[in-house]
Amino acid sequence: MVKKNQYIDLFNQDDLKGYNTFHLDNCLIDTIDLVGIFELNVNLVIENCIINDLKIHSCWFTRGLLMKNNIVKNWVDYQMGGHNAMSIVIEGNVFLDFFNFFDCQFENVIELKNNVFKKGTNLLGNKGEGFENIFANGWFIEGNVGDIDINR
Amino acid sequence: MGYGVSKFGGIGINPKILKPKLTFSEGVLESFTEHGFAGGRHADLGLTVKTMASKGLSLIKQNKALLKAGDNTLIGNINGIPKSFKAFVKDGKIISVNMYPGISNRATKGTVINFGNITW
Repeated sequence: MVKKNQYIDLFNQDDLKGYNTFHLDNCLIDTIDLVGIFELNVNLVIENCIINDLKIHSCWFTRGLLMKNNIVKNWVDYQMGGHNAMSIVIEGNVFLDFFNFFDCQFENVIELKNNVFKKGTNLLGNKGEGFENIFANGWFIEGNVGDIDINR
Repeated sequence: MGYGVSKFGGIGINPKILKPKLTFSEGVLESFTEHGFAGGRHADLGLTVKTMASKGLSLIKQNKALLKAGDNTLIGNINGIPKSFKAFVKDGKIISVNMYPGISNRATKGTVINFGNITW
């Protein structure tokens, strides 16, 4: 499924039902709400979008996620995440606020490439804390602007 | 709006006023069991995962009147060992529950509830 060149008020689990892949391209999106979806069995691609509110707390992207060339405006709170049988790729995005990775357990690789984290992120921060992120198959990080190892 | 000290050690809004019917979403126990105890990170409690998961959800249930929409952190000592829980509330439901070792001194967004010292 491809959804392209649209204004979207709310994008959530209901929109993904029945699809193995879903591609959002070149959309203005007010809210993406994937909170508490513990097995998101969809390969999700979000590309060239402007997103006001990205909500992914407790979402397990079991079939992977590609976020590419988006602008994300809100404080993103990704807690209790990971459990991704396929890779999560976050590439070329601009995050205007902090991106909080909290106690995520990444089963497959997570890639952060060429993003701008205006207020930083803590993907590699919080060493020694009980909620430090775990990487079973490592991470790949290159070319980002902004701190990625904030202790917060 | 009333405030009070809960019998479970937390300080918050009077439980008689708010959220008497807060319930767990489907799948919370399963996700909590898979995530919260990964890598044997609570083995220091000397209990089975099943027991800890059950007691963890009971602890959240006991404190549910203090939970607010969004992110909630519950901190305290279990059998003398510092432990923290997370409970995320949305649309009148507890969407997810997590448990991790220790108590952080890092500032956290959302509600913080101190459940005190308990024995499992």
